[in-house]
Order: sequence, then C-alpha cells, then structure tokens
Amino acid sequence: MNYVPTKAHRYFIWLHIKNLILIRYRGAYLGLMWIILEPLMYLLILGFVFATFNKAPIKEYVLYLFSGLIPWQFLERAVLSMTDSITQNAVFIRRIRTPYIYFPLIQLGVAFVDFIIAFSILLLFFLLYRAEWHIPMVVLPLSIMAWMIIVAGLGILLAVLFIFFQDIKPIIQMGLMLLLFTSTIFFKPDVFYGDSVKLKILQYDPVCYWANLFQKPIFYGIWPDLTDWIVCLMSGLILLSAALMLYYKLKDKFYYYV
Amino acid sequence: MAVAIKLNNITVEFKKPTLGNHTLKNNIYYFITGKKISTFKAIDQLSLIINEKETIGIIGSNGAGKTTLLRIIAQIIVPKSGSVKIFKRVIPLLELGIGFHPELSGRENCYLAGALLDFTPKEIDLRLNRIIDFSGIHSFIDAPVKTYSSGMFARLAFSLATEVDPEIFLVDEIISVGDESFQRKCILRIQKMIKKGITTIFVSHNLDFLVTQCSRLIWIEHGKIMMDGAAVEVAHRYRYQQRLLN
Repeated sequence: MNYVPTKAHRYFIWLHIKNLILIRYRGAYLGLMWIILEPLMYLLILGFVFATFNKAPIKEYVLYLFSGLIPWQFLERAVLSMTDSITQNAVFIRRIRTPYIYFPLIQLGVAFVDFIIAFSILLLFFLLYRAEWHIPMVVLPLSIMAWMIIVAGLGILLAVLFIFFQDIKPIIQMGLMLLLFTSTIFFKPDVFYGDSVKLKILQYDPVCYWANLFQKPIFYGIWPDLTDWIVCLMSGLILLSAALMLYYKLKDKFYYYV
Repeated sequence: MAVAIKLNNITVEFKKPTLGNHTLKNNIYYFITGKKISTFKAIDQLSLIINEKETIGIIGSNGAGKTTLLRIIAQIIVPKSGSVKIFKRVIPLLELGIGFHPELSGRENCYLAGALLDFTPKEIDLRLNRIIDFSGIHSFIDAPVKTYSSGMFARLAFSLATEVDPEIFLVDEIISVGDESFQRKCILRIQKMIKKGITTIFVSHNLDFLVTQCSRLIWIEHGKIMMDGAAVEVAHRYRYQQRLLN
C-alpha cells in the first residue's frame, strides 16, 4: 500500500487549501483584508467583554485570553471542519480514486493558515502593549507542533466516525464547548482556587495542559513543565495513532456510507 | 495478448438507502431491536478478464450494475469479496468536471482537477494551450466556471480529462457532450486513443455507437454477466430481449 502522496496529489492538497482561503473572501468589499480583520475583531470583542466580566485589567487579560484562545480556536475550527470533510466531498469520492484522508488534511491546512494569522495578531498585541518578550517563548514552535498532532489526531478520528454516524456533529460541538469552559482558557486558574471540586476537574482536564504550552511561555514567562509536555504529546500521539489505525482499517468501507 | 484487468468472483453489496441510515440514532435503534438494514447485490459473483488493447462496451438495463463495475475497475469501490487485479494505469471518465470548483476560473480549474488526474503543475503548463484549443473557449478561460453554459463546462472538462495518457480508459455515458460538432471531435479523439492501443471500456445505452467502436460487448443484468462476446452478436441478443420485455 502506498502511503505517500504523489507530487501531483501534494500539489492538489496545497492548491485546494489556497483556493478555499481565497474563495472565502473573493467578491467581498475588503477582499483578503478580511483574513486579518475577522480574527482581529473577534478577539477584540471577546477580550473586552471577558475582561469586563472578570474585572481584570484589559491589557493583562487580553494577553492571557489570546494566548489560550488562539490555539483553542485552531483546534475547534479544524476539528469541526475536518469532521464532515469526507462526507462533504462524496462527489469526488464516488467518481475518482482519491485517498479519503486528503479532505480532512485540506481542512486542517485551512485552519492552520487561520491560526498563523491569528497568532500574528497576538504578536501584534504584544508590540502594541509593549509587553515583555520572555525567553521561554522560543519554545512556541514546538508547542504549535504538539497542537498539530493533537488536532490532526482528533480531526481524523472524528472524520472517520462521522462517516458511520452522520448525526454526531452537535455532540462534538457540545463536547468542545464543555472542554473549553471547564478549562483555564477563559478563566484564570485563581478563579477555581476556592473550590476543590473545580480544581480537581482542572487537574484531569487535558485542555489545561494543552493550553499551558502557550499560556506559560507567553503570559507567565515560564517554561511549560515536563507534565505539560508528557500529557500533550501522549494524548496527541494516542489520538493520531488511533485515528490512523481506524482510518486504514475502515477506509475500504467508506464508499458504502458516504 | 497480456491481461490488463482480472476480476475474480467479485461481489458488491449495498445497504438499501433510506433516510438517516448512517446515524448514531439509527444504529442504536437497530442494535436494540436486532433488526437489520436490507441489502442488495449490485454485482454478484462476477468474473471477468480484459486483455490489453481491447475496446469493450458494457450494456444492460438501468440498475444492472454497469457503473458499479466501472467503479470497481477504477478502484473506487473495494468489493465485499473476490479479487481485483489491475495491471495498467486506469483513468476513469465517469463524470465530466470532477474536481472543478464553480468559483474558480477555467484556467485555475485545469490545475486543480489536473492534479487529481496526477498532473504536476509543469505537466499542466505543457498541456494548457492544447486543452484550451480543443475546448474552444479561449475568451472565457479566465471567467469563473459557474458562469459557463453546461456545454462550455463539458467541453473544458472533456478536453482536460482526455489530455491524460491512460493505459486503461473508462468512459461512462459522457460522449453526448456539447453541440454536434464538438461531439464529433470527442469521438475522433477517443478513436485516436483506441488506435494507439489503449484498453478502452465504454458504458453506454447507445448500442449503435458501441457496435461501431467496440469489438466485444458485455451484457450485465442484476450484477451478473448475461452474455459476453462479439459486439454485433451481443447487441442483437440484447435488442431481441428488450423487445420481448417491452
């Protein structure tokens, strides 16, 4: 079995990602400017609203929120678009021999481009607020790689499951929302200190460890500790191996379900 | 003559489509009640050998399993049982415009859909002028394909799809594209491919076309081969049976 895409197929994946991004804003009044404006406005609104709710200084809270929310948004957008990507492309699948896995990978690529743009906005805020650049921030490329493994694993796994259970998207959306609001992305950990049950939940919530890879170097200026890396890499690798195993085991049956 | 395609005892079984078949809710329902979704065999223990350089037509009534058979040869469907051996590079032309995005221009679509047919951008660069010339839509090549008429769309898609160099070429009911003069161009192009020795398999309801182009016809009903032989003979028997049924 050939697992490596041909040069033409790699070109197809790249071209598809590029086209999906360009088409999104083609014909819009401000065109490609929306690629930057959309996440900028979204982050600004959320930043100001939640800073007010949390009664926190805007500068401090915005940097805290963005350092966790931007990677989370990448995960959420990628996973949701990857989930139904194979069934959405049934027209390809039924008429030309295309490896099914290309379609979740294309959506992963689109979400990754959005993430890089949103991440650049975070760096822009760093400049605007004249925040301190911490040395542990050099670890961020590794944090991004760890998140890529987690997102790819979760996205492919759900894309395979969705073929057989095509009504699970709302369940996935609710699950992601639950993970988000039980984590330390919107709320700083000190909010939970008075409640032992909530603290226990935080201890077992993998999202807190995932978020630490960004929040610790960007906001706290410290290195993520060994537990953070172990939880992230182990969860990512388990998800990715399970996803690929399931994909290669079931891919011959996909045609009958899409 | 060397074998190009060898199918041995293949069976393809589909679940009868109903609304919400593949949902968690229905799966739980079927699990609890112990009921099973009924199935039907689109291909039933079919064996077939096709040699290199043969030109074959597949005929049969609607729902006989012709397109399913073509999709098995194109390696799009993996059968439930039996073995499929394809010894050459297959290019399926099951529908025109696969891989085309309506928002992209004709030129952009040539690169996108071309990549699906295994063309690198350099290979498309080399062929692009020929594709545009053959399609005859020079002045619209940079317009979004959603603005094309169905004829223009089909012309561009056919030009691109037949620019490949297949060793086995599968064609499913797509000869009637564009206007009459373009249809003639299409047939001439396919005849050229046949002359080059490309193994070609047509699925069509146009018996006259098949008899003139093919040396061998395979008649399929209910997923089984009813008759396989010289084109004129099979077409005669098929017509006779159709007359009896009507």
